[in-house]
Amino acid sequence: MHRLRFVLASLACVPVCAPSELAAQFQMVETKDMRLVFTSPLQSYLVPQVARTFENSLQFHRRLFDYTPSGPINVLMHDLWHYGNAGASPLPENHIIIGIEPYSHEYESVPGPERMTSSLNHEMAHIVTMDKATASDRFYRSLFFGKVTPNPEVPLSMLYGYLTTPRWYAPRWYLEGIAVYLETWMNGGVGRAIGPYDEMVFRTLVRDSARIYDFVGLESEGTTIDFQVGANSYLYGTRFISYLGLRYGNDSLLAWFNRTQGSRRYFAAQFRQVYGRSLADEWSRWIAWERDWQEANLAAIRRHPVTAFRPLTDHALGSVSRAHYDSTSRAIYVGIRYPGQVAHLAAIDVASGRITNIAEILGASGLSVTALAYDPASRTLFYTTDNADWRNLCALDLASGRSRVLLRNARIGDLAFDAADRSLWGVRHDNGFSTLVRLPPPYHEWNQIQTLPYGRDLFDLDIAPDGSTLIASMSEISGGQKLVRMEIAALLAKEATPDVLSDFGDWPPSNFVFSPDGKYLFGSSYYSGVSNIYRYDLTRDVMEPLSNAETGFFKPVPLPGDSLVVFRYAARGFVPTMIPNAVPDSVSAISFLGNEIAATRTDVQSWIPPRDSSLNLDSLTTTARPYHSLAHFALNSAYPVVEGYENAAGNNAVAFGARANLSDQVGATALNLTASYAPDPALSSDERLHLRADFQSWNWRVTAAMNRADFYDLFGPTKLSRRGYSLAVQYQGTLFMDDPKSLTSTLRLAGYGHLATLPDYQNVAAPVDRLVAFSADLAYRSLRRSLGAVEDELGTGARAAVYGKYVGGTLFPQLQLDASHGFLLPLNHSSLWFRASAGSALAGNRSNPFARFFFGGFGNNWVDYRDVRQFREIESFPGIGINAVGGASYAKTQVEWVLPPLRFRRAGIPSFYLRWASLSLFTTGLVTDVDRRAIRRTLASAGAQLDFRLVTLSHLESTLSIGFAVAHEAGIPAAPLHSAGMFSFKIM
Amino acid sequence: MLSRDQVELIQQEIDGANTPEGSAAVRSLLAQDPEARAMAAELRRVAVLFEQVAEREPPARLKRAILDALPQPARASPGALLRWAARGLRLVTKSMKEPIMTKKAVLIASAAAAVLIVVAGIVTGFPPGSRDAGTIGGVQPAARYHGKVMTEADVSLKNPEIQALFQNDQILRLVRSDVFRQVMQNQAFRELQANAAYREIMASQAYQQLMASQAYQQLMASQAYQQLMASQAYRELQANAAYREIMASQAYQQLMASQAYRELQANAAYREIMASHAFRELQSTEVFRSVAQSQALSQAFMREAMRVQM
Repeated sequence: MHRLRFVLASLACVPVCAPSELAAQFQMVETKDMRLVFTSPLQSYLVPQVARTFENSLQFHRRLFDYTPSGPINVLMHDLWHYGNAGASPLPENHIIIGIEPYSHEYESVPGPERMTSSLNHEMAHIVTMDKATASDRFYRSLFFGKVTPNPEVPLSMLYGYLTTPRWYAPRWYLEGIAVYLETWMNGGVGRAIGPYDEMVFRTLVRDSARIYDFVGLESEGTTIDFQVGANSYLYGTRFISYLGLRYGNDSLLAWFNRTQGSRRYFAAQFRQVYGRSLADEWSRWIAWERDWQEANLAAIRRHPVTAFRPLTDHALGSVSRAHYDSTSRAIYVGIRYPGQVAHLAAIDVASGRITNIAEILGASGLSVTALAYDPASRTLFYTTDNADWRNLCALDLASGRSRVLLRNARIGDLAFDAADRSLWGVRHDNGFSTLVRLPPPYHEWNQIQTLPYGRDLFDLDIAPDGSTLIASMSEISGGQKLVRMEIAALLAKEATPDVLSDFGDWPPSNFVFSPDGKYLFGSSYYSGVSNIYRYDLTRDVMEPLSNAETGFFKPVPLPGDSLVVFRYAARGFVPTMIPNAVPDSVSAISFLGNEIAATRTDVQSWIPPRDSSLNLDSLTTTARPYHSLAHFALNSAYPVVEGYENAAGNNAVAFGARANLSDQVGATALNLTASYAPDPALSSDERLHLRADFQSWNWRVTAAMNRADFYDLFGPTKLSRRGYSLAVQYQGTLFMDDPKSLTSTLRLAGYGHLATLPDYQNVAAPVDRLVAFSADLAYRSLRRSLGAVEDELGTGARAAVYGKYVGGTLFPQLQLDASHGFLLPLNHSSLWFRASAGSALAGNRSNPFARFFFGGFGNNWVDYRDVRQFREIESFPGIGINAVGGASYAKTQVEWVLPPLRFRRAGIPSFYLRWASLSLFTTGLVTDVDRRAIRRTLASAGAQLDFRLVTLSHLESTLSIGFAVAHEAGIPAAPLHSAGMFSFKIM
Repeated sequence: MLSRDQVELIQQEIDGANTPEGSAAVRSLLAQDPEARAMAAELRRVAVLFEQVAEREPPARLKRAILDALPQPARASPGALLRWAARGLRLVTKSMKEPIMTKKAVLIASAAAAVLIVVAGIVTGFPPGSRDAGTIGGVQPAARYHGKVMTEADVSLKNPEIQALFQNDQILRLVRSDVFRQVMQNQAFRELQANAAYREIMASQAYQQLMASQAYQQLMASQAYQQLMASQAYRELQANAAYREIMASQAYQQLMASQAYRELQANAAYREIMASHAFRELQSTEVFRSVAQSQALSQAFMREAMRVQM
């Protein structure tokens, strides 16, 4: 669901379209088992392919798992990313999201054939393994009117969710492992279960005697601080599942994942039931087996002399882009991304290995970081930002160090520079097509050279030094890839025919580049199972190996003379390394775990979905029609709730009631209704009924409440419950979005009646019964974080807001401005933040509470669901009581030092473990009534907050926070220091 | 819809590779099923096209796999298998250089290639042992399991060529231009779309004939519009009786003579777009000429252009 919301949020921010226009473009096609919504009619050409592969995949899973979905599965198809990807969730209804863009081919880490087929084979496996229900699951689904999505506002929903969809509460490696395993066989053996990248990762861990995570460490550390981050879930999951398949066969493997009658809810308990031992025991056995397997592969490689190499740097660089050599400075330019520091373009001195940070790369992508090309004549680096989304094309002048954006949302990657005419070439991804494009100087527009038919892709471009030919890797629908060459003149004349230079058979060519003299090509291939460097002699038309690597060599950069810089894979990422430009005697092949499975567990060979070309799509589908979210509005779930309510006299009551959640198919429109009743005689009769409604549709939000109650008011000092009724309408629009930069505006109008306390300040009595309030704000954000961060680590935020309260014929306008800026310290994941805020009443009686701002307290409740670091909020002032200080104007500053988080590799059990602890030290200054010396108050405080992140049932992240602060008020030297402690538990 | 076996049977008949029983089955099928007759005609036309295409050597590995398959006479006659393989490979690999390529031909040829690969896989078994060893000097290739590999026959798309058209920078520039927007919003243009003569064309038998004609289907399924002008399919369309009938139809003449059409031509925005630099650039492309000269393509283009604008 999070991913769905992200997609919708992205959709709402597409700059060319207002959301209403965007929503109007949504189209829908239905079959008996699928509701396909696509975000633009331009994608309609893919509908037959999606419909057919969906049906084929569903038929396969129906047979393999005896699975019948309870209703149509929702599929949302969009074109918002640079590379194709997909996701699936069973909550609140089964849904799959597919990005239609061509796949990434980086390091062949995600091999796959035609992407709709591959994606649906994978995602359907998720749906089946997470959604399939037993009689008891179905009972709870009927009791709660559907599957319950955990909601932080209603912590009990965690429990309800587990009862309705227990297998969703499993670690990602478990879910991805089986999906990759099945997908590989369903794709005819094309997939990560027979992936050379996967073999390399584990071979390297064994070779380097590095840690192979246990399954708690994998979740707590391996998927967060390792440079592979989330990819480790796929790598470990696939490997462990494959091992189980090989060792015990597929029947027991499927029994572990199949939610049949009598199976256990929790994935680890079901493992014990099927295999008769604990998951931890078997995981340890797998690690021992893995070491043996990889030692055998290393022995095979070592049958011939391995290639000697010299590392250029003393540490691995994490992920790296393609690199370029500058003969003037004798440096390698490359984009790098590793945990602790933000991704950046770097210059690596070939002689000393010294790394210089040249410029930050905004929006670096996983393994490829950025697309990079180099013009040595003007000493300009061309690179891309927003690499996961619609890429921007940028140029960095090395002489001045200045970067500029050449083309926004260019959607162009795989850059190559033509030194002959100074044009830039690249591959543009749009609407599922790959188009070879050329950008003449000054690079402000692109020209189509050739659009490849759907399913074919071109990547890893390079251009001969004399500008005569272009080389590239070309992939086919089957997943096969070839190294091709095309004449530039013919390309410009639209008459080019790709000339296949070398067919590496089953193993793709990667990153081939010309030598400086244009006589050779250098690149890599997993031809022997290990990624080695190959040299193609253009004069003799001969391909020769240049290395016999133990781990893997990639992205060669030919140097003048007899050597190459290559990027050697290591456990912590890629290391720039020198190797000789010489042909080794022989290179041996390694074995693949996936091949072993196919040979010994031959049932996988029959795991092929019916590619039924006789499937009559006309009988399956209805005609595409516009999608209207309100027409697909439905009840997702309903369940009992418990809430707390505190009246103005301080009586705390417990209310019992129910909540209903409704939404449309794609989650663009949602309505939540909550009603509860507090049978407490301490409350007056008109305060016992509590109602709340929250309606959201695209940019609009309407909320209404009567005697608002809240679950978290059952605990602690912070209260959200308010007597009276309210109705509010809000519009939030995006004025500018160029990730991570955004400029948003929010307009809100609200009316309140029968008030007892101020809506925004729980401890300030309302002097009137009714109130009309409005606000308008403009907020800018540009916040970033490095790989492995626990929160944003640097960037800038700014906001200007105008508030108005209309009370009894008097308007109380207020202006508030705030800004923050943070930057990373040399210590990894440690940053320093400066925050400032100021506000003033613009008119009205300045002593009236409606004209004043109030401060005080940490802001956290004992049990909470809001952001854990409430001390950063404007109204917070740790060390004094809640709303204890107020003024008609104020100025506030804060400095915060965030220390590097402490990671816990193994602290807990699979269903409950500690992930990290993080400490913040902060000091805050506040001046109220700045413009009135007589009543001015000046305060300062210093404090610390320590947060512990806990993970329950794999998905539910809780935070335990403790804090302490002391405060001092200036001008009262005799007054003692105020101090306050804070304890808070954020459940979700 | 014809099954894959039936298509295969027809293809073998054309290749002269059928047994007497197979030939009898084909004759019976052709007598009973108009779709089968159409398919046979199509395959014969493709066979003629094959003769115009230069031989292309299939990869050595696949060739060897096919040859390995030959001692299995029950699966297919060697001659037919080889011819089929060669044609399939030609069609699959020539798509980037051959201007004329019908979707059906791609489907058939790709299906043929897919069947071949599967047959070869079944016959040769797994693992392949020393297959291809030593093709790059001194390097032992790693084995890789092959199941049923995807081919173009496994991909079903609906007029991707129209969408591919919008990957052209000149077309995008035009449809996103202000003058184009003005034309789209122009009253005369809207009237034209609502014009009775225009609608009559859409509903006319001649138009329906055109839509159903083989030549039109070929045109819609062709690989790239850039290559349309030079394509046999396009020439066939122009020579097609149904197409000529439309051009001469009263409805078309009525459309041409309609007030709405004249208004559009006289419209300032329309004239502006005609005189614009972007439009002149676009006119110079083969793509646009192809679109402009085909009413059906124009309609599809305009429909998508309006969507691209949003």
